[in-house]
Amino acid sequence: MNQEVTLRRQWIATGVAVVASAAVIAIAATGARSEPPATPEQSTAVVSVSDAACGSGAGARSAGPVTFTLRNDSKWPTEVYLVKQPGLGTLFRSVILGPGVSLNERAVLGPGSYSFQCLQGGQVRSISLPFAVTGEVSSDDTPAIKQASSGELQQSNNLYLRYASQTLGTMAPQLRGLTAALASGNLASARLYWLDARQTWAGLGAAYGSFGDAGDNIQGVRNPALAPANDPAFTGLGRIEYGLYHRDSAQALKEAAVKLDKDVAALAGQLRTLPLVPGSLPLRAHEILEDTLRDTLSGQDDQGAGMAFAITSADVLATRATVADLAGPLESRRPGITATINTTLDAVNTALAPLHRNNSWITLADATPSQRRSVNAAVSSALEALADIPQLLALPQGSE
Amino acid sequence: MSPESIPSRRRDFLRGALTTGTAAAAAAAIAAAAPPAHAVGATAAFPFEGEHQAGVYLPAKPQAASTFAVFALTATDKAGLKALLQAVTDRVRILTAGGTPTPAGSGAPPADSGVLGPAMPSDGLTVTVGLGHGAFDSRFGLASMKPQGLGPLRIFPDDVADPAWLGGDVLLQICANSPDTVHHALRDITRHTRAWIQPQWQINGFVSPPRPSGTPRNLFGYKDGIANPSEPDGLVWITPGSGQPEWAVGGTFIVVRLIRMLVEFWDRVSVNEQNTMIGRRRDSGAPLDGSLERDTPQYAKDPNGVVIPLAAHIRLANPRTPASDGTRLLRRGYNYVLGQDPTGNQNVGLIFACYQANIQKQFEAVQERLAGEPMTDYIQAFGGQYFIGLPGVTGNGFLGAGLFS
Ligand code: HEM
Repeated sequence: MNQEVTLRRQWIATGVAVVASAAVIAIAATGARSEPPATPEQSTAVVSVSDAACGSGAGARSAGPVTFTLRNDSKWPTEVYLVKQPGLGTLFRSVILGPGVSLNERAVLGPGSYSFQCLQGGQVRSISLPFAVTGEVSSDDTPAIKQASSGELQQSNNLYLRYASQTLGTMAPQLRGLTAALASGNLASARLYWLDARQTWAGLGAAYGSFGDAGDNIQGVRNPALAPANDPAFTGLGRIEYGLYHRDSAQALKEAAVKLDKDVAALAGQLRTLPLVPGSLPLRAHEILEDTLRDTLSGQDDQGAGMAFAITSADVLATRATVADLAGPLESRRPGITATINTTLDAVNTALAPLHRNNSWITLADATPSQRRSVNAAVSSALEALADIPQLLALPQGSE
Repeated sequence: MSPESIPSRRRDFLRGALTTGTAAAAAAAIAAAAPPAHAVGATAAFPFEGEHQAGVYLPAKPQAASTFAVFALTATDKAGLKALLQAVTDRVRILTAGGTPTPAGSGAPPADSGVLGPAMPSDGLTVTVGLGHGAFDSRFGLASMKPQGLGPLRIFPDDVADPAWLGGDVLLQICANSPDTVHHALRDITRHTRAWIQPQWQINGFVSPPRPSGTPRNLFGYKDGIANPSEPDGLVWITPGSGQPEWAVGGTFIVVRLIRMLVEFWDRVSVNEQNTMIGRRRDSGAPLDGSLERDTPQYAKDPNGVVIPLAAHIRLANPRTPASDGTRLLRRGYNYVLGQDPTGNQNVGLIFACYQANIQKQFEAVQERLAGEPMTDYIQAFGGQYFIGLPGVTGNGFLGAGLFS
């Protein structure tokens, strides 16, 4: 079979069919099988996943921590969910178990009724009879999270695409300003227009790779083995930044700006109809600021402007937009989560406040260690809160 | 410093005629540190709860692996500092007990990094928490609670201070039987505290196994950590009536001093000279007037320093006189290795950590006596900080609770 490798960051669905039938899912039979723990310190059960019966072996039990050894006795790669009934949600999702493979999953069961669900190719194939759990738990029982569906996330995707095309629309006049400033050789003005456009681009939440080649051309991705000046594939905002801060000729940069303008217009034309990978928006919700921390606040990304904090503030806007677009699905699973997240994002803005006046920003290099730490603290603490989003909204494997 | 005690440094052209100070015989007790049962191994566990924090006298012998992770407070108010100390307490309680982490379920990433496997062993973990003077500045409204003598690490004349390795508001001294356990604990604690603290500097240290027996050796090849005050000597914990704020009783001052050791230079010196610089023998660890590691040096019998020179490190550090008795401190040093430097030398040394009830009367007094000692040429102190090691936690309390009551 044609092995389709899906990179996590890919956002646009490719032409390749994404729904695979159980029979054609490639099995990575590693031979390494999980052994049951040597010293079980809590209740355990071996649960068989077979063609005839999903979850046989899970009998009534008392509340508390339990380790289930899931063993795939079927012929098909199978994903196993432990769900709370009736329809209350999922406690855990296994990885896709190849035939003959077993693995351990743990949960703390509160009182109630539970079933195992067996999925193949992202579709529920069978459900076990419910088993009863009685008694009380002293520690927190594992929450049951309602399973997300691609239909539900599609609405969020639509909201996002509307936001994205509006945002991209504001880039056109900024790029015209940039081109005009370069045409007249006014580098100071060009730098201001460049920053506006760079922030708009960040506000899209379009960090690396999310719009494929079109996005890369706009962002400007450097070949690490080449000097920027000798790297013809290094284009867009990154290349113009490099030139603006490394004494390139305004004329050469003007050509780059004209091309950038065209690339942006091309993406804007496609944006509303882009087939987004259904489960990508929840990933994006935390990855925008992951990129901020990794690439921007580290300074790795910088091509000379030192505008890490300005870009961070735009990244916060993009994150807010994504979280807002996902608010419905998120709040129905964990009420209050968007407010919690927004509080952490507010803290990033508070940390950024002393670093700029309007759109005039202190450079990363000029910031004191303590100023940088305040921003890092706020961004990384927001990331801890954002990290739950992809988990809360994860789609069945094979249905993404 | 009194003139007769001016030590002779190798590089001094003029060696001062060293006259005698009559050193009274001092019955300085050497802590006979017998290893507690189960000190080593994955199941070793030291209770978190207690009058004092672990990692100072408990376990009796320092664990093999450590990190000294120092943070700047990014919390901006008292509530943030309190939330930090509560979160740290929760995590340390869980981590030191060990066991299987509560599963996070399908709505969150895994609760644990898995670095220690599905069921995390205690592995002799201790986490000792300290606060620097910055925790008592205007941000947190705790200025009136600041312990006496807690300021920035004092810079001494021969130091080569490097701002990158100096200062900090919060110390996590994390020690365990293996480095993965140390890393796991640090990673877990920072995950739960990102908004309130950010790393400022961090250095990992190790204690070598006994070679071949007795006290482990430092990177000069000398047994290090032989002579220490025992807990009943009462020199380490802050006691009531000591002039320190009530909340600090049961705590201790932690001095962390990062000291580079110029091992290549040291290796080009004869072992006899090395021995006289330290005052002990490199092979056995015995004081130069004794034959066993545990022998007590008898300075009164050698007032002119014929056998153990007056400027030997151990003699200056602890002259074992009634006057010097109260200046003793508890040392738990860790070796560090940071790679190499631009001259091609190894960048290695000692994380000198010492614990005392009074920084000025103990650490600084000892350090002042050591000023200009012959060993000075072979070491360079470059970083560190003073911290107040918080009192222990009993019941359901949290570290530093006394600051908020
Ligand atoms: C890299 C620097 C240092 C090295 C290589 C070093 C090495 C040693 C050695 C080999 C001993 C003898 C063994 C023992 O009793 O533990 C010793 C003892 C001692 N050192 Fe250090 N030391 C260093 C720094 C310091 C500093 C900074 C202080 C205090 C300010 C200090 C205070 C002491 C004390 C109090 C003793 C015990 C003396 C006694 O009671 O007999 N040392 N050191």
